[in-house]
Amino acid sequence: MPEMNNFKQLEKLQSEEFKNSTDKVKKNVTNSIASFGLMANVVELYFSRMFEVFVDLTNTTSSKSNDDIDKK
Amino acid sequence: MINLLFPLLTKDIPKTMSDEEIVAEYLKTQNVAYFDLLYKRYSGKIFAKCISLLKFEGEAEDAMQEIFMKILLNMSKFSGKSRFSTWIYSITYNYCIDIIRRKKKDPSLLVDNFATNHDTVDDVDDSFLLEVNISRLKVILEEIPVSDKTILLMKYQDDMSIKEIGGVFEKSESAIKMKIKRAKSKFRSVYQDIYKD
Repeated sequence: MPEMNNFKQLEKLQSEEFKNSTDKVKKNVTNSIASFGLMANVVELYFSRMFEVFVDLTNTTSSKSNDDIDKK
Repeated sequence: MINLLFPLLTKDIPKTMSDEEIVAEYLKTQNVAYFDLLYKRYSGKIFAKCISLLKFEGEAEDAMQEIFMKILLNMSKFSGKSRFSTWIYSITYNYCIDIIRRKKKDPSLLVDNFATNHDTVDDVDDSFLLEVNISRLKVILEEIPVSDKTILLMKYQDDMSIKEIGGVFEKSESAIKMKIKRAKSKFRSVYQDIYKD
């Protein structure tokens, strides 16, 4: 247990005085965490799928170009 | 996954866990209850530093929110080489100093006032600072320059070592020792000016 000096007592008094502010900030931080969590899930669920679609699209485009060359 | 979707789901966490153990568990499980515990332990202390340095309540609230988001997003970068408290206090001081620099509230933070020229600065004994009563201490800390206040808070409030303070300011240990000496001297001269009796 660290020794309690006057600087630490002042810090303790200030943190008690502004208890409402810390509670208010906590709500905002919690909301941000929830939003980050949701975003992370969206990315986790759909990013791999989007990547597959992108790969499919590029493959289709390159095969079409190959077909065009063959026709010519 | 469930914890990410429903971050308010919590479980009982032993209150005796060390900060470092909580960080490790949070990184492993992403359970927001661990972060909640860290918030309970440090929010008051961080807010006290923000209000002390930034002076305005609204500004301190915004700063604290940003600081906790930084802590959250950089938690995986915490290497455990220093104490967790030192790590988050460093983030707090750096963030507040940055705001003050940007707003140019204190020009002394804009220039490199860590020069190590050994000018004549009286060595003030620690007991002088530690025996000042709280109401007077609050007044003196409001009066001295922010850079002096910051370094005194790091030393006497947060028990940061010279090496740890040097890490925050990116200065050598001798430069920090000189800066502390000057800050203590400034503290005493302001005290003597205000409380002449």
